[in-house]
Order: sequence, then structure tokens, then C-alpha cells
Amino acid sequence: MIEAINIHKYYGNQHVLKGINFRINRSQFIAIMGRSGSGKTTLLNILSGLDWPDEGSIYVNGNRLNFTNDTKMTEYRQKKVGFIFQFFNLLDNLTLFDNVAIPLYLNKKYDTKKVLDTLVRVGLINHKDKLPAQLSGGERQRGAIARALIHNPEMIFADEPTGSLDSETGESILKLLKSLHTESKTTIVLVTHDNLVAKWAENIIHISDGVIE
Amino acid sequence: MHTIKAFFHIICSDFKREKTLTILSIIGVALGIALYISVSIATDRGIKTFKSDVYSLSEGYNYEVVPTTDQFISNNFYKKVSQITNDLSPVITINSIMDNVVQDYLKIYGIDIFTVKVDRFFNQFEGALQDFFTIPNAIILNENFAKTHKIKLNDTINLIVSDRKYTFIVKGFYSTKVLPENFVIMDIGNCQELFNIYGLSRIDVYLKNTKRLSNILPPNYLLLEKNDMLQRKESIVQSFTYNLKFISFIAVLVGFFILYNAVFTSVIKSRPNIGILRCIGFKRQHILLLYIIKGAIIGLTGSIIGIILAQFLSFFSISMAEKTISTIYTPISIYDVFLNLKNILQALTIGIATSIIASIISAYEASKVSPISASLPSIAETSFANLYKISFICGIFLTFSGILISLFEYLKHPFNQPLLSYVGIFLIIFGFTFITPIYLKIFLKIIKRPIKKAFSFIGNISLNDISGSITRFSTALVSVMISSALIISFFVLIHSFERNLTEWIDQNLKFDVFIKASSCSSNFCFEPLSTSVNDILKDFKEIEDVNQFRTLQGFYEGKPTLFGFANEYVVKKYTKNIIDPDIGKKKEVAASEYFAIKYNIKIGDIIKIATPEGTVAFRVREIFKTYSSTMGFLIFDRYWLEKLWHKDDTTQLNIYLKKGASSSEFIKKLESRLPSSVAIDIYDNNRLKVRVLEIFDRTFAITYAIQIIAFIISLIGMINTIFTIILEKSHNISILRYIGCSYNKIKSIFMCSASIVGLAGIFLGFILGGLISFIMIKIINIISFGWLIDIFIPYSSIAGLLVLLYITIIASVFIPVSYIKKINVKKSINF
Repeated sequence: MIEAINIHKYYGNQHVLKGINFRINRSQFIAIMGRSGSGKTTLLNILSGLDWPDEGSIYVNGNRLNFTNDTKMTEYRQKKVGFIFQFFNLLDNLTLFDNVAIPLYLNKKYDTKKVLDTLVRVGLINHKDKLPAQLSGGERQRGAIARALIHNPEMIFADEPTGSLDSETGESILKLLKSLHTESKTTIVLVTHDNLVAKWAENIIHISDGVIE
Repeated sequence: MHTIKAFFHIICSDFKREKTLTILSIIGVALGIALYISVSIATDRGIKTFKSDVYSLSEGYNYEVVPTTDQFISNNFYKKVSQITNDLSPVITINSIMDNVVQDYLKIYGIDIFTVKVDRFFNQFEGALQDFFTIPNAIILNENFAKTHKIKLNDTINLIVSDRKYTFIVKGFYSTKVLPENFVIMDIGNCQELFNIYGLSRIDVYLKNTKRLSNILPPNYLLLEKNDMLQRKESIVQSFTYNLKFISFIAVLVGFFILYNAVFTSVIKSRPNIGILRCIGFKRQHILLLYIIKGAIIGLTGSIIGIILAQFLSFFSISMAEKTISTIYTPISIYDVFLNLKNILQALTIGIATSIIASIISAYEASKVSPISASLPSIAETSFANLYKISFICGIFLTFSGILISLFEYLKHPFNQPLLSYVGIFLIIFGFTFITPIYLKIFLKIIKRPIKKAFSFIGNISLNDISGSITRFSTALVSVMISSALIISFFVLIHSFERNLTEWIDQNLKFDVFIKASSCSSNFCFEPLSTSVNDILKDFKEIEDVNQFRTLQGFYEGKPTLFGFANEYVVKKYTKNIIDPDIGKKKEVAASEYFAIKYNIKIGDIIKIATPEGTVAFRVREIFKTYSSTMGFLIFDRYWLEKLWHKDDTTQLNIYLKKGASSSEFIKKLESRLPSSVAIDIYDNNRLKVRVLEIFDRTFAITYAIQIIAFIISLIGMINTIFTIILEKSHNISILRYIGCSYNKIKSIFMCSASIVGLAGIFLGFILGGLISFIMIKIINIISFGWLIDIFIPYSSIAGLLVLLYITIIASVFIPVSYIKKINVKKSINF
């Protein structure tokens, strides 16, 4: 369970988040929706512990995130969080297999079989030795999804996961996300500006000018 | 004008953005330039001072007559020359040392002041001219020298000439513009009387036609053109200067790679901006010019800082050059320690030219960026990847060319200096540089499994990082390779030299006590010891044998050669256990290896030596090793000194004591019996051996300094490359941070990359260093100095040195990896 209480964030004079409050239950598939510049990504960064609120608190499973402790926040992302980005963000010098395996290495749970199984799950087993540059956009995003879920995180944060894909590929990615959510019951927080994408979630939080509508 | 303004703004903003990288590049260039210029200043000023006795008092004279078989020209011959022409000037030169703490080396010149044509010489004369002639110990000093030593008119100073102290009274000063600072001017008549000299060191003469003088020239005198003499003098120290300049230029080469890396990174980072500039109408030539200007600005700034640094470094390098030249050649004191316009222009030219060359490839890559491709990652790595094979072939070709050229020089000795070998070493360095990409790829293949096994995730990512940026990592590898090669080659050279020298010392320095005049700072002295020393020694019953050694500056085939005269019977008795009372009377000579190589002489050959008694043929009895001179060296028995040169004096004494006699007690006793006016240095065998090794260390002091600076530059190269890679990989670093990778783990990845590249660089450097040391020892050393030395590779010391080098390289990476924390993860990632 993730709970945000009165989150404020400033960038200089700019008040980006103006007292955000919400609660996401375990295994929920939720979409945070808003236009560009509404503060969605800032909120996602705070939820993942990469940024910190100037005011307010985030609770994960009842524990308050300690933003001042970098080691704990790194461990939090390492163990409990999976990330999916709009531009995939796979490491360009690593093969797909190696990219997917990173979270297992970080959690000291490296298991070749698990990497292969996950690649089968996202339909990329035949591309395991390819570099990201040799994959299509959709394939790269599937790879990113595999990397996000391989270590069985409690929650996956997906920032515009279909934003750089054509509608058909985007839909297949969303289908994959949905089916994975159904199978693994992982909490998914999807950030998007697209109404059609948001519809795939169970609940939608609308954000506009730093406040939840 | 607008374009220039735009250039200025773009370059300034680039520099601001790449502050650390720019600063590192400037430091790299500055250090390279500083080292090269400071070494150039030291060697040039060394040569200038070394040659000063030829040109300083010779203004208006185009020839000089010098003795070839003796120290002095007879007064009678001077009279004969003066009958041919009035346009001549007699000169006596004597080495002396100031009896002070610093022990400045001063050259006493006995001259006929009215024949000196040095412009405004008299104008600068401040004292009473009459006193100069009438007071037997009156001298004229350089005004700067006097100021430095707080010497005023009519003050007295003490100088040691050979083994005697003399007091002089200062009767005038001359300007530094007129003569160098280490000159002491005396009236020639006073000089001859004071030092009991019945002759002249040389006669400066102005001749339109040499025929008349040549006709009356005895065979033991040479008539030389002043320019020719200058060249001969210069050639003596040329080897020393070439060697140092060559090594220091390698440091400039490493600076070149650093700058190349910086401009290359700037191009990669600025691709989107280049695209925008192209969109708004910048032409390809503009972009090309932009990055060349950028490189030139870094070069210019680095050169300016390098000039300032060079001034500081030159105080050290000049002192080192002074010591080395004084030890191996002749005592000199260099006072002109400040950079001049020529040095500044040289620094700027080298700095800017190197920078422009280093920027051209990157600038060309930048000019190829089209507005459309600007947002795509750089194709440089991919396009370079296509060139790896060609680069490898070129590398192999260059390496073999370098080896072949050096080999040709080894076999044929086409020049007086090992010029081909210098070129050969540069070709080999470039060859190795070109093969690095393929070498690194192969190296990665070999270590892939063990690294993955040992470092799993970290090893895997760093291996992939290196594979993905082979060109970039090759630059770091080259920096490490060159510096480790330099360190290894010099370590092997110095160690081999030291081993050979130690063996030589053990074989040759068998005497118990060694005596030389205090003013003698070089390995060889020409001013004889006063007879009182020999007389005192006669009273010592503990003396078994004495080898009275005499050195003379001789000529062989018109080229300066050292003549030594020893008691061969004594020498052979103690060094070879040969008892042959007649050995000295045989018309035989021992030749140094250098002499044998230079004149292609073998044992048994007959060589003709010009003596005061005419040309005499000697059979070469043996060829011996010597590390004390870089001229050809011939050793005769003293029998011939008396018979042909009519001398029986000594410049140094080697004393063999009877069994059971104590050296230290002997020295104490001798010192107590010496009159206070005698200034001699007495060493027992152990102290002498230590001194020889100290001189050896002193000779290599400047080399050690160069190595250290070259190593610092290469560390900057490594820091620069890792820093560059961190900047380039900031996106990947951010991804890793998002997915829960700690800063320490990311740092470990870069440390691992540096360790791999460092290891690869050191390994290649080891091979390159081996090749360079072989060429240096077996070719350059022989041609330059005539020193034949066996190679000794101190494997355990080298292993220790390499480990130290490796640790330093890895430790240096701590500096750039600390930047990882400063990366703005949120900004660096593509959402």
C-alpha cells in the first residue's frame, strides 16, 4: 500500500505539487493522469524515492519513506520497485538478457532460468542476445517490462510506457502489463496524459497544476 | 564579425559546461609544454654556457688556433702569428671554483684587454683600468654575479684553481650583455705569472686568407674556423640534449591524447547543439573551424600556463643540466635561468600546433553532423569501429618500420646522433597506439570469463561499457601504455647502467685512496696537482703503489678525444693480476669502446697519434669500458707522457696501500701534513664508490623528474578519459540509479573499467617499454655516449613498480568517479 500525505514540491519559485493526497492499495492498477507539466513525473520520482517532497510524507506498507537516507532509498528501489519509461531506457551496451538480469544481480538473486523464463513471458526469448539498438520500439519496451518485473517488486511505476510507440504496439504493451498484473498481482502505477491508456487501469487519479482533481 | 561573436559565445558556453574536462585538458597540455620547454631551456642554456668560451670573447675574430697535443700554445708561435697579422688576440682559460658554499664554477680568462673587440666592453668597465694591469691578482667580474654575491669594487674573493686557493682583488665589472656571468677576466700577463703558465690556451685571429698561417702551423696545432669550433663543442653535448628533448617530447605526446579526448567528448556532447547550428545556417566549414578554434584556445591557455610552469620547472632542470654537464663534460654554472621570447614562442607554437592537430579529427566528425542526425547518438564509435582493422594494419606497419629503422641505425650508424632510432621509437609508439583498439578487443575476450566470474554484474557491465566505447577507452589505454613504457624503459636502462657501472667499479676501482684537485668537478680534470702533494706522499711508508694519472685534451683525426696517462704496470697489477714491468714501454694504447666504435678500431690495429714529437703510431692493446666520458678515450702509459709530451705531472692519484694499512688513518695523516693553501679532495675506496654512484644518480636526476611528470600527465589522461566516459554514460548511470543501483556499485563499475584498461595499458606498456629500452640501451646509448652496456631486467623490481603503477592508476580514478554523485539523475534520463 502506498499513501501520499500532503505532498508539496517546489522548483525554485515554481510550486509543482500543491498538497497531493492519495492512497493506492496493494495489487491495484492505477493511472495518474494529467497534461504535460502537471507534475505527474515529479510525483512518480517522489514515489520512487529519487526525489523528495518539500513538505508531506509517503508511506509504503505503513512505513514512512526516509528520503534523507540514500542507502535506504536505493534499497527501496532495488527491492520493491520496478520502472518502465517512455523511452525504454535499456542500457545500450548490454544485451537484452543482461539488461533484464540487472535487478537480479542487484538483489544478489541471479538466476539464469528466471531471466530466460521472464524473457519467454514477454515474448523476447529469441532476442535475448541482441543489443537494444537491434530491437524495435515495442521489443525494447517489452524488455523494459521484463526488467521491471523480474525481481518480483511490490510495485511497478510506468511513466508513459506507450508514449513513443505506435498505437498498435502500445496496445500490445498495455495488454502485456494488464496480464502481468493479473498474474502477479503487482501494484502498478501508470502515469499518462492519454485517456485511452489510462482506461486500462482500475482507478484513475487526475492531476492538474499540481493538485489532484 | 557576427560569426566570430557567435563562435565566441558557443565556445564560452561549451567551456562553462565542460569545466572539469576543459581544466584537465589545459593541465595536461600545460604540463607537457612546461616539461618540454623547461628541458629545452636547461639544455640550450647548458650548451650556450658550454660554448660561451668559444664565442664570448671572439667577436671580430673568425679563426682560432688551438693545441692538439698539449694544454698550451707556445709563446714563440704567438710571436710568429703576430708577424703575419696584427689582428689577433691571445687567450688563456682556466677552470676555477669559488671557495663558497654554493661552489660556483668560474672560468678565468687571461686576455690582452686591448685586443678584445667585444662591443662596449670598456664602456662597462667601472674600476681603475691602470690597477687592472699593475695589480697581479686584479680581476674583472660580471656585474650580476657581483650583485648576487654582494661583491663590491676592491673586495677580495677566493678561487680554487686545481688544488690551490688564490685570492683576487676585484677591480672592475662588466655587463652581462657583454660576457656571461661565469667569466673572470684577468690581464694575460698577470695570469701567466700567477699560474706559472708559459703559453696560451688559444689564439683568436681574424684571417681573410688562411694560407700564410697554415704554412707555419706546426702539426700539433689546429687552425679552426670559429663556427666549426662552435659546432664541435655543440656536438659534444648534443647527445645529452637530444636524449632529454626526446623524452620530454613524449610527455607532449600524452598531452596531445588528453586534448584529443577533450575535444572529441565536446563534439559528442554538443551534437544536438551542432544540429541546431547547422539548422540556423552554420556551414560545415564553420563547425570545423569552431572545434579547431576550441582546441587552439585550450592549447593556447595550456601553453600560457605551461610557460609559467616551465619557468618554475626550469630552475630545477637547469640545475640538473648544470650538474650533468659539469660531471660528464666540463664545469659550468648557468646563470641565465629566465625564459626568453624564443622559448615563449616555441611553447606557444608547440602548444597551439599540437592542439590544432589533436582537434582536427573531432572537428571533422563535428562538421559531418547533419541537422537530421544531430539527435541521434554519435556515429563516431561506429565509424571508428570500421577503421579498427585498417588501424591495426597501420599499427603493425608503423611498429615494424620503427624496428627496422632502428635496426638499420644499429647496423650502419649513418649519423653522429641516433636520429633514426628517435624516429623509430616514435613510430613504434604510434604503431602501438594504432593497434590499441584491436588489442583491447582481444584483451577483453581473454579476460571476459574471469572478470565475469570475479565481479559478476559489475564486471559484466564494465566489460560491456568498454566494448561499446573501444575508441574512447583506447585513448586511456594509450596514456597508461606510454607512461608505463616510459617508466619501464628508463627503469631498465638505469638499472642496467647501474649494474654495469657497479661491475665496472668492482673491477677497476681497486685502489685504497683517490686524490683529486678540489676545483675538479668533472670526471676528468686537466689542471695538474701541485708537486707538493706528490712530495708529501713520498714520506708515507704505508703506500705500496701509486698510479699517477694525467688527463690531456687531445685530438684524433681532428676530433676532440681524451688522452689519459696511467702507470699501466700498477693498473694491470691490481685489476688484472698481470705483472709486466715492461708493459708501459710498449707502443701500445688502450681505447675506449666508444673510440673503437666511432673509428671502427679493433684490437691489434695501429692508430696514429699526434704528439709534440710528431705523429706516433700505437698498437691498440685492448678495448675497455668506461662510463666516465662521452668522448673517445685513449689511455697510454705515463712513459709516453714523459717521452712524447715532456710532462711528468698528475691530475689525479690512485693510491694502493700496503696490506694492513688503514685508509682512514692514512687520509687523516695526509690531511694533517697538507699545507692550508692546498685544496684537494681525498676519498677512500668506499667513499669514492659511493660518490661515483651519486654522480650516476645526479646524471639521471633530470630523467627521473621527466618520468614523474610524464606519469602525472598520463594519470591526468586516465582521469580525463574516465571523467569523459562518466559524462557520456550519465544516462546509463541514471537508469541504474532508477532501478536501484547504489552509487558505490556504480563507482565500482567505473573502477572495474579503469582496472581493466589500466591492466591492458600496463601490459602493452611493458612490451613497448621493453622494445624502447632495448633500442635505448643497444642503439641510442652506443651512438650517443659510446656506452656499451648489458641489459639487466630486474623482474621483481619491475613487477613491484608495475603493481605500484597499477594501484596509482586505479587510485587516480577516485577523482572522476566522485563526480557520479553530482549527476542529475532526473535530468539525465529520458522519460
